[in-house]
Amino acid sequence: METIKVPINAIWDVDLKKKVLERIYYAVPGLADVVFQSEGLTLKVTEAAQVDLAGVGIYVQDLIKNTKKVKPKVLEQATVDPTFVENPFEALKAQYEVFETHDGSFVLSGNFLRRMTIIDTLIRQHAATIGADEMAVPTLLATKSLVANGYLHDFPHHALFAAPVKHDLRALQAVADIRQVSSEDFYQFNDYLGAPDQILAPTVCYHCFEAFRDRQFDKPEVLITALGQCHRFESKNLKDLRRLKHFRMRELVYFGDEASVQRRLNASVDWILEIMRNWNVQFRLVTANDPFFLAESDRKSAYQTAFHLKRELQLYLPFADQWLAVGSFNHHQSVLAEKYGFKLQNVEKSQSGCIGFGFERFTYALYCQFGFLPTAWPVALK
Amino acid sequence: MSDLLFKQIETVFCETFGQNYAGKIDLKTTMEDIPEWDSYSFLDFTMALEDHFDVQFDVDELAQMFKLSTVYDLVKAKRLKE
Repeated sequence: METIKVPINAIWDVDLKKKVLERIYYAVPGLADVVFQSEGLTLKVTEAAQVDLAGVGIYVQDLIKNTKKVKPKVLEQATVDPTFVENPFEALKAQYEVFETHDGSFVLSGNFLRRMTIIDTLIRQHAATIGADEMAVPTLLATKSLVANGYLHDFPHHALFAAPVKHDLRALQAVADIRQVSSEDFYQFNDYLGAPDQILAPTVCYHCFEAFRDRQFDKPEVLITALGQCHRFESKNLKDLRRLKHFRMRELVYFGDEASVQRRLNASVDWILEIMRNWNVQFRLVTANDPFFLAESDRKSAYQTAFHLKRELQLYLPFADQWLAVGSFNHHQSVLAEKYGFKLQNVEKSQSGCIGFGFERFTYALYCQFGFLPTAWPVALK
Repeated sequence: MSDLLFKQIETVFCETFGQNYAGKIDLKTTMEDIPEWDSYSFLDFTMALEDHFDVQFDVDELAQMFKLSTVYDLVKAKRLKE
């Protein structure tokens, strides 16, 4: 292991450290550890010669510059006395309710799955109440779709490409002949893979937008709900059920004019906060911004934060004294309507918004607050 | 508009969004009117204003800075205060 120093003049507060830590593992090959010091960063890496030291310095400086304006703002908060203060993760595994089958990949069962399904049912009922149509969505999106909508520009670090084996007898034979692989051997597959023209879907709503590409609706408002698996590469940021590589999310997607999208988003926020209060959950609603990777995209964070275009429902984790985002409320303004070319009847400038709940995180955060005694749980989830 | 403060804002604006806007913007100009004034360049403009006038905007103030009349009022108020 080698040590390199990246000279940066910064005050490393908690938010800035978090932001840098969530990104730097993608930017530095073989990075094992990061130490924040007043004179800069100290990186422990497997091979210093492979690191673009100047590039990393500029990259972190840019992140710092953008971070100045994106401090989250608490919009609402509810505090309760915790009845459970442990991390339930190991117990959930011991009880065979959560199985980690691969880094960041989980199989779920038992009460954990049952409670997760109830939460989904509640959100689905809310969607039905407001008149949303249900869509069933696939796992993959076309790579060209995520180039066109800007996802790969904003979040190249999260992409998980999918590629078939080449149409080549020798490649097929070579793959068939592989009997075992260690992590160092995976690169051998590169020689046999075809074009990665598909990507594991990072969100649910992109499927809905793709379905509506270039569509002219004969009504002024369209509401959709869908449940899907989402996939985001998280490098070394994976952490029990707080940060997963594959997770289940239900989204409600709103299409309309600015006022209707904003009204729908606010109504859904009010709806879920009321449930949180009824369940006696410690939560907060905060302004947020997306984890843009490159500084150019990250400049949008200030805009998102200032105009409250992204809000998050966060639940408190007593054992860690941390807040975990379990839901997000996003106003895309006209950005995606323009990119996908759909138009609504009598709406001069079509807009969209979506809300999404990550079920593994949501359920895990509730376990963190309520533990394993059924009597501690809200009636609906006992 | 002949106001000296507005002239300075116009200078910052044109340095950020292009010299082709010189003399073509006024207090009625909003983000809607300027294609280059988008979510990406929003921060560039506000930070350029901060540098030029040696002031700081907080997030609540940023949320109002989508029209030049508000930009003008905020800069004017801050300069009086600071």
